[in-house]
Amino acid sequence: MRIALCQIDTILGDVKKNLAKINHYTDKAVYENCDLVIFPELALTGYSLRDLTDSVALTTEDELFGEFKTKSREIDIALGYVENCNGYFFNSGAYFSNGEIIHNHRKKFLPDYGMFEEGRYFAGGRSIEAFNTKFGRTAMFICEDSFHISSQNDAFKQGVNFLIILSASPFWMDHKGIKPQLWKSLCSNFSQFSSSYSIFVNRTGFEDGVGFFGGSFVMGPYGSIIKEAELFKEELLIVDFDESLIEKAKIMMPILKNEDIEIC
Amino acid sequence: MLTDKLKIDCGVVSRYLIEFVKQEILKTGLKKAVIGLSGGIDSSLVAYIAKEALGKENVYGILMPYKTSSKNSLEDAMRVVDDTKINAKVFEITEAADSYIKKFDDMSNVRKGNIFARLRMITLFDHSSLYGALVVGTSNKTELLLGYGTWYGDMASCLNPIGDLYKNQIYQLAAYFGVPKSIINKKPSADLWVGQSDEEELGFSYDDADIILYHMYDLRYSADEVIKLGFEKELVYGIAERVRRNQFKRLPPIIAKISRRTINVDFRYLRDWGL
Repeated sequence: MRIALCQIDTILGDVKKNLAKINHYTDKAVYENCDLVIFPELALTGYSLRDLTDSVALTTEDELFGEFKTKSREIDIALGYVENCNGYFFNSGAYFSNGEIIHNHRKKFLPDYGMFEEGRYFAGGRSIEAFNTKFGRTAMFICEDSFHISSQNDAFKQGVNFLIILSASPFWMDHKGIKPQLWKSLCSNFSQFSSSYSIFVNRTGFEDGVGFFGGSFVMGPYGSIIKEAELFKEELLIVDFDESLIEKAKIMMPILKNEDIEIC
Repeated sequence: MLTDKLKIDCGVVSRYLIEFVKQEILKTGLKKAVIGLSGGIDSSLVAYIAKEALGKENVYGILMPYKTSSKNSLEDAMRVVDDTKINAKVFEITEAADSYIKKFDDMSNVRKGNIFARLRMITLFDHSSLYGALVVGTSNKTELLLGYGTWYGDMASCLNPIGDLYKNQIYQLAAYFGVPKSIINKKPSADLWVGQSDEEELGFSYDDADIILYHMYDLRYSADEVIKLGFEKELVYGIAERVRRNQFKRLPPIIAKISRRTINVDFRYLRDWGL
């Protein structure tokens, strides 16, 4: 199994140009024989949309998605966009496979503190739902979802083998460290306790001085980094997965087994 | 040491700032930068960052002395030009400043200082038009918070790579970029009048200000908690008051709201709209 992590920059509010870039990288991933290509949160639109939110929103039936649906016969595609549902807007992630959207995740936790304004413009999703891909049990988070123990718990209890995180995480640092480290420790914990791969795809580029740091990575089921991309630069990171590690990690640390739930 | 909290990872921060200057200029369709070079540490550092971001041929350092400006300032600015090999131009503001100043019988140093800063702003923005470049700002976080700058003067720019770095952190980065020692070692001065010293004029040291500001605004300490770190009450409250009083300088002018969509109130778009 081979996955392409596309940590791209986007043009704020220009769906057409962002679409062209996404298509370009998707074709590249197909050429590289990848099984899945992942793009960041709001990859079609840019992040700090403010009053542009409604003008870039799409329904899941939008004909613009037709192209992805067609391409998804060759390669699975996950990407972030603004979803319009009856005049309300969601920060969503669509997963395309076999010619259709097999899963649409609406970001559940919308940050509205510090520099964040998502709670002002978006409606929140209601749940974290695992779904089956050709690779196994998968869940999709969008950025802030990851910081909530309840999301991790939902994904864990649904027995995911792959956690895909679409992200637009801004850079900051203080005397205790830099932001990218926070993501690594978070995903390392989740991967270890759930014996799963965590795939963090974070965008790059700046929006009015706010820099998205990239640094996308794949965390293996033992909780260590398999491969990671550069900070601050657009990159297509191709990672080959050893799926057998998931079972080995489960045998070593079968945490889910002792939960009081139906695990299989 | 309290200043340890101001330590930055210069490797990561420099890469970040180089990308900031490069991307935030290129996305506008331009590729050049204009920087007012004073010979001080802030503008020198910005010149090094811009050179890495855009290439020396795309960076214009403008030296804008007034007749009383220190010769050392000009020499230090030229050291930066020689070292970075960026384009340079000396554009004296003496004639323009004096023809304005002489219309008044008497003028305070502060008024004159503001006139110099604003004439330099005019010069920089005019050259940005001449070269098809953007003006890269050189105000650091300490002076922005303290309001120690001229509104629409040295505070004016199109983008500012160092506005979120305290003075102490500017020194760390300057050393990292290899800014000439004579610039790093001299006393900071706006050089708006003979013998001016930032720290004498402010009445406190930059290190003290940085520590107080970092704790109050980055770490959200209360003034009383900062005093407990070992600072005089007057100093802490004085700095907090400066920050409050100068908030207007950090914002565009306020607009009387009349419509349902008022610019920057509920007409909300980034500069990078469509970029």
